[in-house]
Amino acid sequence: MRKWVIVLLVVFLPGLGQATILKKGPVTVEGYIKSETGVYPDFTKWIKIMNIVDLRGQYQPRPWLSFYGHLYKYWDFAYNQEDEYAPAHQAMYTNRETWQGISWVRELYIDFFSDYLDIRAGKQLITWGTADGIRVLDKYVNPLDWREFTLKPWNEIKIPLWMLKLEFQPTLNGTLQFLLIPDFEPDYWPAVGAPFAIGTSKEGMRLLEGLRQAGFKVISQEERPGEKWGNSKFGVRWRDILGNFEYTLNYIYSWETESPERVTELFFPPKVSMPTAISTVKYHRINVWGGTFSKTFVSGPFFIKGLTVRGEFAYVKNDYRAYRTKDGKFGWAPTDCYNYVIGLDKWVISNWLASFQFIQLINSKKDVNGQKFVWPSAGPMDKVETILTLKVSTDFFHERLKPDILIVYGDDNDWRISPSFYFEWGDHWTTTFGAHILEGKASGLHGQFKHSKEIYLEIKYSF
Amino acid sequence: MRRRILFITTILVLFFISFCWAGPVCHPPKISEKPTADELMKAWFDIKFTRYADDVTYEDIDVIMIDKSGFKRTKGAARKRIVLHGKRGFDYKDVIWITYPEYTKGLAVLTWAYMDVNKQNDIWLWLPSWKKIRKVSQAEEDDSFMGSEFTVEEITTRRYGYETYKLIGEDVFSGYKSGWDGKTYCKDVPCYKIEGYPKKKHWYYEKRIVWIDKKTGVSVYEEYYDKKGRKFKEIFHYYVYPENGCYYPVFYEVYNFKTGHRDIIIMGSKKRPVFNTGISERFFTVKTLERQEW
Repeated sequence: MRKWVIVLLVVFLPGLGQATILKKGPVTVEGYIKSETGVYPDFTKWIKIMNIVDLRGQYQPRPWLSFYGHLYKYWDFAYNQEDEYAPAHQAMYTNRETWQGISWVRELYIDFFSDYLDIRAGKQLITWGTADGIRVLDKYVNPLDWREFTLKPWNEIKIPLWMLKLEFQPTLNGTLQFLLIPDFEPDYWPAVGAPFAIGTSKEGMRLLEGLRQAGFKVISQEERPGEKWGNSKFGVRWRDILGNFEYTLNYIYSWETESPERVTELFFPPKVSMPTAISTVKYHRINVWGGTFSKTFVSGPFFIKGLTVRGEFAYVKNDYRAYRTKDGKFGWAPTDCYNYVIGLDKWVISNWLASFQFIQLINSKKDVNGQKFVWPSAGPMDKVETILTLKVSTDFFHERLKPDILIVYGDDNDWRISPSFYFEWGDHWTTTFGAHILEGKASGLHGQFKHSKEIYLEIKYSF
Repeated sequence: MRRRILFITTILVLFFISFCWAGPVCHPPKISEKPTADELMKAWFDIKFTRYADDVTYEDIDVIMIDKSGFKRTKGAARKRIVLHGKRGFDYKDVIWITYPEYTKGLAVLTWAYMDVNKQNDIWLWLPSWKKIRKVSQAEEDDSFMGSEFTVEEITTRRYGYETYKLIGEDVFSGYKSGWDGKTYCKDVPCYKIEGYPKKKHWYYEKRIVWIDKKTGVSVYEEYYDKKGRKFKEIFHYYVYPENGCYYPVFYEVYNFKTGHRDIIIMGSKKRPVFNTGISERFFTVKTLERQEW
């Protein structure tokens, strides 16, 4: 049935698309259909065969009032094609009980605009950070869908939340933003068996499997914050521009979106009919203070003129992190974190943009009883982790061909290289051809996916 | 008596209506009887950057790009600008939104331009695929503007002070046949001819010849020459001449003799630009970029 829906959409939407973006009075409707195909470099296995339908509409009866909706639906047929993904297919796509808030409705909100106050109420995405490819402040606002690790644009993998956003503008350039987020969603982690299942998920599954083999009935459950106002996230941001130095000061009283805490309790007969292990995921409240800045040097000597310096910082109090216990299992403990990014951007040689970032993730504790904290990949995390990124992009043929390359290097020799070539065929068709090469130790953040290197092709029809 | 009251009331109402309908009042640059090259070029830059008005709104801008084979691509945009006339060192602030095609729709650019020509513009981008604002440095000035044959300098940054000028004479412009609609524009318009030399060394052009309309100060036609003295590019600007003192730009067209590319920027094919609507400077901040839905 779903295949027929896709066939119908593919056949009829381009017809609709001939009229390009539909704009009639205050109504605008537009969208795209896209095919994303990813394979292993030896062409033996699919990583994804995704068909995506994206539809967006706006009704703006007045310049100060707008209603906006965004639907986004995808089907990934690689999970039907590859037997290896079968367990993940069951957990991620066919078992509705394990479904975790990945909705068709990506955004749905009402806007009110004025010179002094903007209000946006509804399901939406918020961006606080200035860093590329890593979430420092944003990590604590919208959760993330890790189905394809962090290989896609944030806009496509951030999980939207229902919230109220108020933005006051008391001075010419100064704005004070308030966020009230009564909605809670955790990060979405791909199930074991999926191409980008992370190390801690795999190890956790092995531990539970051990219990099963020991005769336990294993029940996995999630203890989410209760749905009451007191459990809302609350955020505030002050932003101002002094001269051409832009800065923000941020605070959010939030929830963890990637809790490592999994409490496993064992129950034996006669309390229960058979030995039972209940594994419960728990989430903790956290306080996050941070800020961002950016400045472009609009005058000065050659190397300085045109240079943009930007930064982002977050201090997280009592962030729970997993560590490996001496018996090889996982424990969890709070630690304070200091994460920051310094970025430099500059146009060099006409239309070549180079963007460099220096990132450090610092834990206040080095370890717990001599046991190091671990990455989501289950590999050990140093007290100070340093990551460097470099992105170079340009364009050719009147901006029709846009190649770029992103290089991410972690200080444990853990790295990623992602080249891509984007081409605009006309007003409707675009294609992107690229690759993701991930390397490092099997327990490293990128190295854990060294066997999931990918060559991909995206074909998109916009209407 | 009643007739007289009715008459006076009618006159007052008509006067009030005419006052309301008077439309924008602009302050075009004045050109003297015997202008110098610098005076003429200053006047042209005042027109180009709409310094004759306090603000301007372009609701529909089309950028049409036609390559040598005739293949055509279109981009759409909207733009608002406030002219600050040197207030706190600012020349103008503006916001441009890409409205078409879908795959670039939503991209928005906030620019703060300074009176000091040695200062680059401050630029913020709204990136739809990342849903975030990014402070960026101004693109290199010889880079293409939106993928067209126009450079960034020709459309957004070149101001008085970028070149040295020489008045080389007067001539009657023979007209420009547009490759876009096939019509001939500005036939037999008396012009001043000015040579402009870039102050930058090793720049993408060696000199240009600018044809300035004697009556209005608009640069109707520009010829670009390379180091070997070959004309490699021509630019045509078509304005509807002053109405209420406001110049209405209709389209800019560029043709590159080397690549065979022709690009046209049409400003207001469906809706004319609107001047002096009283847009607040508070609008030209990053908060406005964050309003973007797309």
